[in-house]
Amino acid sequence: MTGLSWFVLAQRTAGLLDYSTRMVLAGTVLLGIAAGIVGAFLLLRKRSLVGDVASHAAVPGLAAAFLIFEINSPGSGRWLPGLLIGAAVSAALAIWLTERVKRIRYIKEDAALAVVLSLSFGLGVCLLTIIQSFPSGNQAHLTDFLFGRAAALVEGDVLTLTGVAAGVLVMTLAFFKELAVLSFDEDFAAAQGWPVAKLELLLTALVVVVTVTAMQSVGLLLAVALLITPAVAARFWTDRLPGLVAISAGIGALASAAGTIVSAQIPRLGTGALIVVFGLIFFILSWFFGSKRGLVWAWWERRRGNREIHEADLLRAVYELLEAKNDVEGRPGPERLADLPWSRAAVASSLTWPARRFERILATLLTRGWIWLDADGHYRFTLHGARRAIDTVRRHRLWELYLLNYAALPAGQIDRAADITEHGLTDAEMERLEGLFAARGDQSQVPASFHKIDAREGEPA
Amino acid sequence: MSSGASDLPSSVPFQVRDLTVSYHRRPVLRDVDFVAKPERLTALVGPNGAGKSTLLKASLGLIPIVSGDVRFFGQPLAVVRHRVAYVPQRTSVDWDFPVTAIDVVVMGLYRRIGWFRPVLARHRRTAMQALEQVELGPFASRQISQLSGGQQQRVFLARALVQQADLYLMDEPFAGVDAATERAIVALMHGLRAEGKSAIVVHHDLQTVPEYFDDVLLLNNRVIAAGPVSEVFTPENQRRAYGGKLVLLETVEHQLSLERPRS
Repeated sequence: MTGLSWFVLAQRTAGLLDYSTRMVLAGTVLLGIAAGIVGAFLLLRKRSLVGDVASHAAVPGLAAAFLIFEINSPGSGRWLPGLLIGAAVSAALAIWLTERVKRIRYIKEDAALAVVLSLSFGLGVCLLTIIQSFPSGNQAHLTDFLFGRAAALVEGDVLTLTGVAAGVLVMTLAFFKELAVLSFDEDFAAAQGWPVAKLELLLTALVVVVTVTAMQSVGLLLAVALLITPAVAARFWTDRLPGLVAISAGIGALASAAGTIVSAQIPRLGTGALIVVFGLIFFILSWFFGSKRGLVWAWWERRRGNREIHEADLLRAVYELLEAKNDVEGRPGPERLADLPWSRAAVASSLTWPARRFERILATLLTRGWIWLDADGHYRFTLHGARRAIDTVRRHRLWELYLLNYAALPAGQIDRAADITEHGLTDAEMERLEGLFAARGDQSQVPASFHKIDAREGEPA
Repeated sequence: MSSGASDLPSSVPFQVRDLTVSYHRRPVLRDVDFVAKPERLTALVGPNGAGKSTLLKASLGLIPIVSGDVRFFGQPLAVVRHRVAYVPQRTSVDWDFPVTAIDVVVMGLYRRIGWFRPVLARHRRTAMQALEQVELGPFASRQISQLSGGQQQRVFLARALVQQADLYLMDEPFAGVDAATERAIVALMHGLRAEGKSAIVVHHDLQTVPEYFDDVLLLNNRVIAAGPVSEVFTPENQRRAYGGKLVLLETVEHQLSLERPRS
């Protein structure tokens, strides 16, 4: 589908939704984008759990703010800006406290996070219990902020969320380089003179802002999922930082949209929980199908790699068998090699393979048209197959000789060794190697070279 | 201090006076005094825990100092930061980070690019030249985890090279690299020296110190000896720096050399 038709589809879907659902959709998607962007940096900075601390520690601030307003003038407690500020202040305090506790000699970061997280959340629950005893406490529905109540989002909230998302986008774009170098190599960034503490503060502030604004829709306790899951999922699709941030934002938006739309159809399912579930689904899909290190991709690559190795091994086994049996002098041409019959039993016994693998690889070579079965029940190379076999053997022996004779590799070459064994020698490297051996008069074991296999000629008729 | 900082010649790339650094009240460096000479390669050697990395990090302001004074080219670091390049230990970063080799090298230019400005094509060209200088041209667009240890170290060097500094502080650039990379780093250091630059390099292989370096600073929480390799890198000073450990090593080596002909 083209971008335009996606747009039309989105428009139609939106058209199906009523006004309030559209507001909720806009709000959650904007939040998903903001959380995806901030989460990507949080993940790379290895501060994923800071989001968790922020969200749990927002609870006591939220409750305290409610209490303060309520005591000053009963009934005014559920004033949203006040609650947001309270939540943000206590979240920030908790992150600061974590940093302090972390510096105590025998306390590592995980312990510091756990201590502050449980401490502040416990305090929050205590305050919520006190609020329950207030006359207006039951009507305050403060627990909505824990698990979110996206359905209650109205136009004003969407405006706020637009502001938050735009702010996050502008800040991360403006400080992209700086946040990148901070996340990758803090010491280097500091040595270059970047104000790392201030940059860290900026990132923390973004996390707090996103977490606190998330409390209305997905809820405080699920905010960390919205921060981190899209970023983790995005890591399976890209090896570049800008890509990671963009994909993370996209997944955040998609999960939010899907969760909102589905929960609009099934009223009893909470929007926040559904958004998180969709985030999880995107994570699992990415884990399996992601183009970078996704499980399926990795499995397929490994399988293909193994098959290539097996094919090469079979070609070489046949070549070596023919070489020994027919007393082929040094370098048979492809025409001569294709002429020689061989039996599958002899090749099978020279390879110590499970029978199934042997059958499979043999069948592959037959369908490729590299080998064929003559009327007498003997196998023979086709001309093309013979060329492949010679090429394979030549590569193999060149490499063996190289390792044997030039164990002290020239500068700059050692690192290439892994590559060469992984992907086979490139043609340029083959030529260099041949030059090396020719100069030494050491070509006796290497079959004659021929020029690159013509792709068109290679196609079986 | 009786001798003011102002009398320092600006040609001295690096000077440390009475530097004391401690971790959790345990002093790691105590009253370290050291003057690096210009256009020289200085090896920083000492046993594990001697405070070699700490000296570099404290000088760069990465960890707090208890007391003392550090000058680069006769000035505080903040004034001459652009003349100093730092190569951290390779193991100090996460190599799974989603960046390519050239992205990392471009980071060396970030300071020159400045706040709020994007990386431009000419910056990438500069970075590419540095990558080619360390023979990593073909690997520019590889994700950094797909590089070998030696290649990763050379990416770090390229990142320092693009800074076009006059003093290079390198923390164990030879740790865990292959022989080819080791030779490449040495050639690079000698090239820098030929251009009139200096380097202070944390180094572990005592045997190669005389071959690679001009000067040496033997450190074990305090300065054991400092000066030209030929004068101060004596077995006696090494023994003093390494305490019993080197003696033990020598004994083992001696025993091995006795056993070898028999086996």
